[in-house]
Formats: sequence, C-alpha cells, structure tokens
Amino acid sequence: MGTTAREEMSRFWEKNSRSNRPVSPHVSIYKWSLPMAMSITHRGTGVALSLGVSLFSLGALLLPEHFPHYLAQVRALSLGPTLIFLAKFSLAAPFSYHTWNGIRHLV
Amino acid sequence: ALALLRARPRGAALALLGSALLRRPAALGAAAARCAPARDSHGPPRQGHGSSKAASLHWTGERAVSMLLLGLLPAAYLCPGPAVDYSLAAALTLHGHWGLGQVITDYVHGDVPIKVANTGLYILSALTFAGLCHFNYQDVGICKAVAMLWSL
Repeated sequence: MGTTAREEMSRFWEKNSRSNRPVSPHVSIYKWSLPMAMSITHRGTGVALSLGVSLFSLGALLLPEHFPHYLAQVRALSLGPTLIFLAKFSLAAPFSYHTWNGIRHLV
Repeated sequence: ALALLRARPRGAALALLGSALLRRPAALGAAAARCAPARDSHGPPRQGHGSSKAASLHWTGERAVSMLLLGLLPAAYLCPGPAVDYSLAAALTLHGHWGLGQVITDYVHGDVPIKVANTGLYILSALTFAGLCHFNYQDVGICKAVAMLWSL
C-alpha cells in the first residue's frame, strides 16, 4: 500500500508551483554535451516535422484546390535553383536527422 | 543564498523520510547510498495493488510504430501507391501523436493544463489523420506528392 508514483509526482508539482519558488539555473549554466545536444535536436526536429505534417494535412482539408495546382503556382514563381535547393534542404535536413538519430535510439 | 540552497535538500530529505515512514519508501531518500541496498532488497517485482503494464506496453508500441514507419520509407520510394499512402498516414500520425504526447508529459505540469494539452493533441492528431486520408483519397496521395514536390 502507499502512494503511486503519479500521486507523488502530482503532489510535488502542486506544492512547488504554488509556492512560486525561484528555479536555480540549469540549462543556462550546465556545460553542453554532445548527447544532450543531439537529444534536444531530436526532439526539436520531431516537433517541427509533426507540426509540418499537421499543417500540410490541415491545408489538404481547408484549401480549395488540389496539390498539383499549388505546385504549378510555385513552379510559375520561377524561383532560382539556389532557393529551391535551400527549400528542399530545409525540409530534408530535419527529416534525415530525426530518422537517422531515431534509428540510433531504436538500436 | 547558496547556503539556503544547500540546506533545502537536507530539509526536504528529512521531511520525505518522515513521510516515508508512513508510506511505501520509494527511491525518495536524498542519500543515494541508502537507495542501493533498498533496490537490492526489492526481490522479484511484485505486481501489487495499483500497478499496471500500460506504460511499458505503450513504450513497446512506440518502438513498434517507429520501426513500421522506418520500413514504410523505402516502401514509399520503391512501391508508391494507396497501400503505402494510407499506411504512412496512419503510422505518421500515430508516431507524431505519441511523440508530442511525451513532450507534453515532460513539460506540462498541473492536472488541468495536462488535460487541456492532451485534449488539444487528440484533436490535432485526429484532424491530421483525417486530412492525410482525405489527401490520399481526393488528391494525388502522399508518395506521389513527395515525388512531385521533389521534381521541382
């Protein structure tokens, strides 16, 4: 018998958020290590990719035209190859990082 | 101020030990040395009152979906089509839903904010899945869309 971990956790948080105690510096002073940086990047890319997918699917629900129409519009903008490359890179980079680092987590 | 910071953990440990006498002593003691023998005396894990395998099953489920999603990536490249499209929609949404759920668990505290955040997440994931399925049905589909986008 006794308290569950969940009860203990929520009791801790209720008491401490009520008391408005100052938090001692942690992320701002602790020396960054590679594992720390990789982990938070994995989380950041994951959140960004997820929100991107959600935005895409909301667009699919709300926008009037179909995908090829909007693609043709982008093509009509005649953006320079550098810009297109940068756009593709900014999509592929977080995706690749999250995928490869994810494999590292799975292994 | 530094003295206060150092004094507080000791005071907290004493308070926790006091309450630990009344409750099941978990790894609450501030002294790590006290924790090690306590862990050894645990013996075989007891599935007692109030325990459930839900969390560990969830963890396993997360890994399973991650691997499924990973396998879908070459599948999307090699055999694009509605089967992969809908599987991607499902795996992508579930993976994202569980991932964002972990982020909420880590950073959101308090019973009401947690409930609000999780409800919002459910709505977002439901809409995402609906939108992706709609896209697969009414539009070109995920695999084709990526191929078209990259041909730009």
